[in-house]
This record gives sequence, C-alpha cells and structure tokens, in this order.
Amino acid sequence: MRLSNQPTSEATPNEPVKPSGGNLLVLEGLQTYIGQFHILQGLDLAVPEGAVTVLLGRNGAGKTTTLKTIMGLTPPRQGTITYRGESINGLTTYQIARQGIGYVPEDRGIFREMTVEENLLLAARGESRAGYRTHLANCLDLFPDMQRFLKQKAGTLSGGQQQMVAISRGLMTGNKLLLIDEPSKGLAPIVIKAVMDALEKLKRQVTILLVEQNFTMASTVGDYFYLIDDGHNITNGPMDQLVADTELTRKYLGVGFA
Amino acid sequence: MKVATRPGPPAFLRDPRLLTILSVVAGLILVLIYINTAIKFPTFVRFFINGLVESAVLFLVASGLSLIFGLMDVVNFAHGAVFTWGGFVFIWSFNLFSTSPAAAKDKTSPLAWMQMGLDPLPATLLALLIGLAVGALLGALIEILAIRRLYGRPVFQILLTLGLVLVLDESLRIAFSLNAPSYDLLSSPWPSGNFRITPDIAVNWKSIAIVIVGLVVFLSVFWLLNRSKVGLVIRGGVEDTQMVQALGYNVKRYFFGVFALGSALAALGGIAFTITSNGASEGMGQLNLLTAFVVVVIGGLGSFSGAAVGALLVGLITPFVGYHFQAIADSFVMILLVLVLLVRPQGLFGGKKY
Repeated sequence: MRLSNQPTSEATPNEPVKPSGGNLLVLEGLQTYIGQFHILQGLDLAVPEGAVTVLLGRNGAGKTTTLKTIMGLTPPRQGTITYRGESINGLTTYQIARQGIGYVPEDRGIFREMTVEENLLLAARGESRAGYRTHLANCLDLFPDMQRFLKQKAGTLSGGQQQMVAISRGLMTGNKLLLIDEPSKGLAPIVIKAVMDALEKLKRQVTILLVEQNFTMASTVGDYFYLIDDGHNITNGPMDQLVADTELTRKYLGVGFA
Repeated sequence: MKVATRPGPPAFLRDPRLLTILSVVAGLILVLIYINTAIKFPTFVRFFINGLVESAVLFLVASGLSLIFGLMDVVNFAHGAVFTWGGFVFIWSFNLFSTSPAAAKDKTSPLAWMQMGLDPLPATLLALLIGLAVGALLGALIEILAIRRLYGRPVFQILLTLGLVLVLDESLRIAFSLNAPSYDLLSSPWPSGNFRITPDIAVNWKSIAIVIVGLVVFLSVFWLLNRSKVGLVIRGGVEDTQMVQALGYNVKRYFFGVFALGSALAALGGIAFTITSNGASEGMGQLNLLTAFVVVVIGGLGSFSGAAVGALLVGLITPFVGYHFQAIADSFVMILLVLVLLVRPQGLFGGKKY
C-alpha cells in the first residue's frame, strides 16, 4: 500500500493550505466498524502541522470514531493512517500515544479517584522531575485556575475544571498532536469561553485535531475544517470559507436555525 | 487557597489512611489491655504475640488477594493453591539446602548440587527466594494463560480458577510425591531460639521475623501503590484502562506485574505459615484463602490498607475469643464479618480504591 503524507486529491477537493512543513497526520480511505456497524466509510483527512483542524458533522457522522480510530481504540479494517510520514496502522493504543499523540476524549477520561496533581503526574510519562515541572508550569500558564484545585480529588471537580485537567494531561509529555473531542460539551457559556481562550493560546504550541459541535467555538479556534457525514468527507478547506458558506452550514450543521 | 508547608512529620506519615490505621491499632491495643485484666499478663503477651504473628501471615495472603481481587477485580481461587505451593517449595528447598553433601542419600540426583549443608539462616533465605520465585512464576503463568482473556468476566474467572485449584493441587502431589497430605521441615528454619522480654516471657525469633516481614511488605506495597508512578498507572488502569493506554502505558504489562506480585505474596504467606507451623499440609491453602477473603471484605474491597487492618482485627482478636468463648472460636471470623458488614456494608475502608 502506498504510504504518503499527502491526501488523495480527488477525495479532498478543497485541499488545505499547508502553513509549515506539510501534514502531520494523514488518513486515507479509512473504513472502521464498531460491531456490525460500518461507521467510517472511506474517510480521508489531512491535518496540517501547526494549525487547528476542526472535524464537523452531525451526530453520528463518525467524528468521535475518527479520533478513536487514530488512537487505535477502534482500529480500522481498511485504509492507512500516516503520522509524521510513517504508517501507524496496526500499532496499539499505547504505542500510538508514544509517537507523540495526545487524546482528550469526549467524557474527558479523568481519573476520578486521583488528585489533579496525580492525574498530571501520570500523564507525564517518562518525564524527569524538571520536565514535569516545566510542563506543569506551562499548563498553569494556560489554565491559572488549576493552581487552586491541584490537590483536589479529580472526581469532585466541575465539568469545566475537569476539561482543563483533561487538556493539560495531553500537554504533559510534549505531544506534537492533540486530538480533542468536544471540549465544550456540557459546559456553561462562560466556561466555554475560557476553554476557547486556552485553545487559542495552545495553537502556538501544538497541532490540534478538534471535534466540535459548537460552531462559534469551531469557527473561532479552527484554521481548517473537514465536514463529514455518514463516515465520509463532504467537503473541506480553510475555516473562513465555511463561515462564508451559509447554505453548507445550514444543511449540515444546523447553523442559522437557532 | 494556598497550603503553607508546615514543619512536622513528613507527608508520608500525615496520610489520612495511615493515621486511620494507626488509630484503629491504638484502639485495638486499648481493648486488648482491657481484656488483659481478665487474664494474667504473661498469658496476655503470649496471646498478643501469637495474634500478631497470625495477623502477619493472614495479611500476607490477604495483601496478595487485595491486589488481585480487591484492586483488579479478578476472583482468583487459585490464590490458595499458590500459597500451598509456596510453603511446599520452601520446605523442599530448605531441606535440600540444609542437607550436608556427606549425608545425602542420592548423590546422583540432578539436584545434588543443592545439598550444600548450609546453616539454617542462609538455607532459609535461599529457600525463601525460591519459594517467592515459584509463587511469582505460577501467578505469571495463570495471568498469561488464563486470566488475560477473562478480565471483567467474573463467572468465567471463578470457573477457571476453581479448575486451576484442582490442577495445582494434583500437580503438587505429583511434584512432591506425596502419599501423606503433609510435608515437614527437617530442621528448624532460622531464626530459631527465643527472645526474652522478661524472665517470664519469651518470644520466638521466628515470630518476630514474620511480624517484621509483614510490616515491611505492608509499607512497601503501600508506598508502591500510593507514592510511586507504577502505583499511579495501576490505579489509573483499574479506573479507566483505555485512558491509561492513551497516555502511552502498556497496561497489560502492569496488570501482569500486579498479578505476579500478588501471587508472590501468596507464596510468602504460605512460607510464613509453614515456618510458624513447622510444616505444610495440602489443605492449608484453601483454609487460609477463606479467611483471607473475609479479611479483604472486612477491610473493604480494593483497599490495601483495609486488608492490613482486617488482618490485624481477625488475627489479634481470635486468640482471645478462643480463650474466653471456646464455643464460637471457629465461627468468630464469620461473626466479625457479619458485624462489620451490618455497620459498614462497604467494609471498613471500602469505597476508596487502594
């Protein structure tokens, strides 16, 4: 099978502009099943380095499955996943994570029985004490509020606080790519704003593939978008283009009806 | 809110769990002192020391079970069989090591090199290492061959490990060519002799050694689970296996390690039991396993500190109950279980993992 870090052009009509050094992650023709359900039906995707790519689509379009497939949690039956020019097909979840990919799941995946500090310490895999402190300082810079509840049991935190911990966890090992699944889900508007600001700051440090239903957040933070439906691509391109296309956003994202 | 660093005992000693344990132990000592008024002091001390030794042995079995059953939710009936294997392997290797080459009957045996005529101390230590290694190896094999496919499927675990009990018990008979169901130490393992507290009260060195081993195991495993990165991975893996993998840890390897460690602790319990009773018998594993299950449930599932407190409660009170109320001595453990579950259905330390 051909391994390439370029997306197949016929499947992605509006190929994104590459800001620096090409694509960090490329998915080609992904077919993923969960049980008997055919979720991803030939999905193509390219995540340019140093930018935020937003994966959009209705409920059940396959956005979360895309992230899980990249992480090896629901391995694909067909198709290739290329990260930094090398195939990561067939690697197990922990091997994929060790390549430098962080995952912030939809339910945040917080270890509720541990303190926030322990959550972060666990995420700092293979880091020295000094390395841990550097990453922690970076996270506290991003989420100054976290200082207040570092010693608190993570299960007692509010949804927004848990989201801060979940995103910070992805930053504790110097990951190159963060997969973030619906960070705004279930959060109050003011908290969404805080998470959005943090993602804006985060953009300078790490490449992000973001799944987001909240169109305001998606359009503010995102540089590129991929619109998917029924497990395959509809269209993709720079975010400005999508914001301008009211017909498309109305049809697939329900924007403008509210 | 900023917590100022205060001078005082290190954080490790300020842990609420450790403090709870210490207060339970202190309370227990007060109760025992009260009981002491009814019996003569030397008898009391003898009972107390016996109780401590019993607690230590119970704790060793229960600690392994607490890791495998309480923490990882694997119902492992083979734990008792590993306990028995540990005891038998210990006796077998101790007897071999302490046989002098001159006295050896079969000099052509492939194991003749083991007949070194060692003193009791080095023979004990070597035999201990072999017993522990066999325990860990058995645990490792059970995990790889059986349990690995059955995480989260308790009914299958029960069926399979019950079957394993039969296999392990029968292979024990074959391996040690047993006709009678017991196996004795040829000489007393170290440390033999007594330590005199007062002219009236002598405590066996063996007993002191076993209590110290129990204490060391408690502190090390407590540290491993609560203060080390490995402990974080294990606790995280128990809570959310997928997320720990997504953080880059090979959870399977850690679970495998926990299983092997738990089984080595079962073997250590068997060895300690063998040393206190000067021999091993086939049924000793299952007998102790039942009590250990009770101890783990009393302490609270998944709580390692709870297992320690449960073992202390059962081990320390049983001899006194036996002295005062002979009739209920055997059923006392179950009565205690019922009482604890009535008051705290989750066990003393239940609800908290580790």
